[in-house]
Amino acid sequence: MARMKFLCDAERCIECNACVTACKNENEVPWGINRRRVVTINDGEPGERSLSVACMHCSDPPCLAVCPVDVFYQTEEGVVLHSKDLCIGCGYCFYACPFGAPQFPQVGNFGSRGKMDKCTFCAGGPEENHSAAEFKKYGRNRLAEGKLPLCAEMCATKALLAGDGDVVSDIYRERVVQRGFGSGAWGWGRAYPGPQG
Amino acid sequence: MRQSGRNAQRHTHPLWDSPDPRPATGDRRPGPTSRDDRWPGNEGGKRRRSLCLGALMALAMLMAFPGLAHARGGPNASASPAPGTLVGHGGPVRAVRFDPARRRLLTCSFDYSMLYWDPFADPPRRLRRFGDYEGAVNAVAFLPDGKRALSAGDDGRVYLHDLEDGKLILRLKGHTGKIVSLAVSPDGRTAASASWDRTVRLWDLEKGAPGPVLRGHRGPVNAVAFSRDGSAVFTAGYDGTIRLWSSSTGDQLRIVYKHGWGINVLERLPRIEGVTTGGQLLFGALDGTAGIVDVATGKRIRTLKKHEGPVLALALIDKPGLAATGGGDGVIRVYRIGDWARLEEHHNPYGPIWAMAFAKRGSRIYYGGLDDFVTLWQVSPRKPFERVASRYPRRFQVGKSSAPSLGERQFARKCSICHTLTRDGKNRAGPTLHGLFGRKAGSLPGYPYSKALKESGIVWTEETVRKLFALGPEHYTPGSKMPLQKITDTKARDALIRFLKTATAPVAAAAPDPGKPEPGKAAQ
Repeated sequence: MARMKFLCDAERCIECNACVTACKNENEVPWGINRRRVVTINDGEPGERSLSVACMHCSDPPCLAVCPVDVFYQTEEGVVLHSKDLCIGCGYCFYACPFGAPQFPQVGNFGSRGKMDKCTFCAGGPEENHSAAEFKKYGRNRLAEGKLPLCAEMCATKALLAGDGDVVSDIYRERVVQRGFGSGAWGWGRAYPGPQG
Repeated sequence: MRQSGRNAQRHTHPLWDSPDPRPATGDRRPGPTSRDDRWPGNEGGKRRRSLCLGALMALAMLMAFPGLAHARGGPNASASPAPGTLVGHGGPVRAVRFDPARRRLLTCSFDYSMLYWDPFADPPRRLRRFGDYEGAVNAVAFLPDGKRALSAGDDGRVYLHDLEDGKLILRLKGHTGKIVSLAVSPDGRTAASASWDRTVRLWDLEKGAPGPVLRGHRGPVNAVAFSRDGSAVFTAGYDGTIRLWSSSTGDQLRIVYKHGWGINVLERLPRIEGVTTGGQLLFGALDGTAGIVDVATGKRIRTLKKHEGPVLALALIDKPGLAATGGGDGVIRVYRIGDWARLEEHHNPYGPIWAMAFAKRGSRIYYGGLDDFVTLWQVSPRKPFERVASRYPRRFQVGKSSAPSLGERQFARKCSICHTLTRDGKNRAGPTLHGLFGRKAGSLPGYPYSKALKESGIVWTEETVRKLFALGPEHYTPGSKMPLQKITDTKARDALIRFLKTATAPVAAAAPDPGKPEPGKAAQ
């Protein structure tokens, strides 16, 4: 079974935000939030880099550890999904995530209890595959269609890679051999620590 | 009870014995300056190795008897608090603040309450409980007089309480999202609240009236602080910016600093003669960065040691001039303001650190996180063995192997954060489920139910509990305080109900509760 992973090559990202738009459109993400965003560090200064960031589907997800109501689960492919039925909007996953992935829409009881929303690796959620309920809550289930996340598919510079971790790391390794390590794949080591990732 | 094996390792920069960047003043702590005098058991500055025997024994017990820790009261219930631990909350602790004199402490929690403490009594004494909230309480701030305090949380309202008589003075409405940070102007007349609705609101505390609304952040606002003279407000948020606003008009004056990654916490550094001007900000970000930003230039002038997780808590004290950062990695680092020497480091292996505050002279830090209690860490002098009372797994962290049945696991992982099964409700966010079946909804004495639930006319039976989780509280008990939650998996739902039928029955619940009863808490 493939272990699905994201990798953002900071040497290639040009901050075009196509990944953000593709995700938003494909999954009909609620108003006011983005599941994916582009973070620019050292903005306007030497060493400026941009990174496309969303849930990295960590091997040992810190969000899963702190959730008080058992919202998260990992699929056999290593994708971290969550149940919006169970989520109580406490925000603890937001505090745990080193990537700032969990998002909270501006609607809900008391205005604050909106269900958490995040990248699903275009793999839907606990509802039946391709059901209307799944799409409404979690967006498109492209993985069940044999496709990869649209953000990576759309990336013009192939800065954002998604798919089987072994294949992704092989591609990145070839790049490193050609050009040297550079600023690296930010977050890869944090999301997938250890030799097995 | 266990010892933290990674603690008590740094002793190369005791608080008062290395070169002090400040001129000698009367503010400096008197007394011995020899490290050996200050750090018993740390002769010659050699590194100590803390023992992990407690942790290993607890782990062995858990492996041998996986269901043991979860039994009834949950894993936390059997934790005996270390000396100085503040026990009383019924859920994770999100904020810890000392009063200006650093004698009294306020803490607030997921349990819909704020507690007022005398932490120096032996044992620490809970002076008052404030339970006016309709959601988790996330932020607290004392007014300069130390007798009143602001608090706010998930219900989006700002509460002003008189701490001496316990009365609610003001309840300010305006935010449409949860409030996560509060600040009070130096003159005590204006309050600022930062919310995930992407705004910061200013409030006139004398008139009890709303003031300017600060709009401009492109994401949740996580932190707010006043300038030294109160004329300006600094805010920081998920969009990675620190912004400067006029507190009189609410106009954005400029973006002070762009970090890229979201900024979680922000504090203005105190003015310390010859060291700081009061024009620097200490921030912590979700990428683990903690740093100092100079407001005038907008430059990061110092970067502190990076945390292995988001930075979620900061603490400052002007005498003797210390700052601390705490993170999702369970690490607290104490620095000396000025030369930013890292003086001490504490690891809670079960993390995270969500809130902390220095006691007087900076000799202690009280910190909170996922535990139901506030932990005391003695910064100076360090203790030879530092007990960390946190336990893992906590009651809501049990895995499949720890819960004997599907129903019990459902309770542990979906309900236990808010409810107990015993007579003692343990101050949790929801009422105890003891004797649930056959009980009229909203009828348990002592629990502050919503009007909607009290008037719902529901009697809890297998059928009504099934409906509650099938439809969700927003449809079945609209207007109640219960968070929106459904269990759509019929197998899991039925298993939960079967478990609850047995576990909440009065005869079953009459068994001794392994949990230590909360001091002073009457049985419900």
